[in-house]
Amino acid sequence: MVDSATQSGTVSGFFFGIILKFVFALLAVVKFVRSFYFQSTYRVEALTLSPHKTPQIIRNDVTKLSKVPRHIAVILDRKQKHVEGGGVEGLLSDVGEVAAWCIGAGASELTVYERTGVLKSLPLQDVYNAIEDRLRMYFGNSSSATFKIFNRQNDGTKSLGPSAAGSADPKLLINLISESNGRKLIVDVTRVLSDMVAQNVTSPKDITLDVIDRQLKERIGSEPDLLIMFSSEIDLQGYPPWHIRVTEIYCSPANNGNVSYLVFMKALHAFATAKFKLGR
Amino acid sequence: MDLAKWVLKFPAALYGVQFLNDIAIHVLKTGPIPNHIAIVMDGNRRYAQSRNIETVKGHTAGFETFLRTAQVCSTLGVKTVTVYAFSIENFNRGQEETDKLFNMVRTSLAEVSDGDDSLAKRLGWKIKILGNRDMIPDDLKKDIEKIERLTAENTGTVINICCPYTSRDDMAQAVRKAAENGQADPEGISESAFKSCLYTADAEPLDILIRTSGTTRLSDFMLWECVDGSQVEFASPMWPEYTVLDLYLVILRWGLKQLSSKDKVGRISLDKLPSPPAAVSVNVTDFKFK
Repeated sequence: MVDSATQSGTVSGFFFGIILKFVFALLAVVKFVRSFYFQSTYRVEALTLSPHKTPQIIRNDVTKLSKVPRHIAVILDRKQKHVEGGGVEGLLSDVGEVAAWCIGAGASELTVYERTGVLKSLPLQDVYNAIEDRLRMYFGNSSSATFKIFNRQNDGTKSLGPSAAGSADPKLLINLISESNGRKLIVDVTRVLSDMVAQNVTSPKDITLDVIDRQLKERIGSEPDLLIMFSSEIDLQGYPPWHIRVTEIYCSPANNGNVSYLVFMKALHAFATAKFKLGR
Repeated sequence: MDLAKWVLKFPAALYGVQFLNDIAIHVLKTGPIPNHIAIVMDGNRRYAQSRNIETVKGHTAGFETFLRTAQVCSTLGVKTVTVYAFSIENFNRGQEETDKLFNMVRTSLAEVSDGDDSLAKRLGWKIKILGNRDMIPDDLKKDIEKIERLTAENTGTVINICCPYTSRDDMAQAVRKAAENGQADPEGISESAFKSCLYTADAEPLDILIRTSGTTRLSDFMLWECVDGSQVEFASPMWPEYTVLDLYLVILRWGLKQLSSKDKVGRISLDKLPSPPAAVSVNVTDFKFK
């Protein structure tokens, strides 16, 4: 900062620089106090919340709402290994928790975005088992909380569903996506379409918005109705751009990376009160 | 609030506010300044409704806010300001309303860029219209092309006006263009080749996206641009009520984040690093005891 002041070569520039530093310092202090205040009120609020590891209580919380999103997306971070709830195990338990809340709330699709793709690199069976274990804590052993999981790759999706043949449709579909399903996927689809143009299978003017939409949906599913971030500021981290057209985005300045039920419920509240009026 | 308005009627008070504003700009300029700010100017109609005035007046107030904001941005040295003026979805509002909106775009553009004393001339604005030109009526298209031509040589802030625009429409036309251009070597189509087909190809990476009126959706605006490395700000005031101070605070918060992230090790691709010294291995047979 002092550099730019000396560049302008004036004493006043130097003082303006000092004022800015002062303002920045003030802002940092305000930010700290605010987050401290938010987090303490949040703790209190979380205490007043009843223990939620039963589906009845989640259902009870959502019946007060006028509507719930059909498709929920969450952005999760892998925390460092030595932190509580960190590492791949922590991430897997977060996925399981969110899946349980989604089933409890009556959403039928969940997309989990984790930038680095560590979830997608695990054997799908392991991820499936981890989620199943977590769901048992909520719904018991003879579980009706069935789900199907999709490992979304740009060149083909692997999926794993309930093992019992002839069972009813799963209650929840879970998509695992990462940064490579973001901007890169749109470029990949462009390559595919370009190849089709080169082989005269299609012509450029037939590449319409709908065609592209179908191609992208086929690979990573539909656009979520609600996107929840657990960070204190909105950071989309390279989330698939095509898929956040009118998605309701929720982020709480009070939270600091905790995958908490309170944030999830607040996001559902925000969704229920939002107005939708596309272009009108 | 009314008292403040009354006080501001005095020339001395106005002068004082102007003076403080000048200082604020000088102060901000010594720190990091974003290159590219995009704004969804939402809430003009709700502003009009809440004050029981005509919708048109709400839009006029919104236009004034836009002028004020754009002026401040160009004095600060922001290189590009992109605003959402007209969405393709707005065609749903019916012929009458779309005609009105198009007329507003026309008169607003004329106001900004006509004559030697215009804002565009004084501040050196380069005005560009981004969006699907096939959907614009012919007479307006001519006006637009004229204004782009007139301001093309300017070297100040680039003002991108999105009309009629949606981000998916933009990405779709970019896919079409990139697929056509790259058919000789489809596998060779890169992300940067795709990016150069977007309407925002010439603009800097998006630093800040602001949406007013408390709505927490992107509504098909700058989707590709904002997903990585941009600060997305959902502000609660209606657009005509969005003040310069709100903007300063957003820029300060962004600046603070730049400062604190400067020390952290970023994700950098290998080919951007300086090349390491030559890698050698000790060949055992060459090794002689003396």
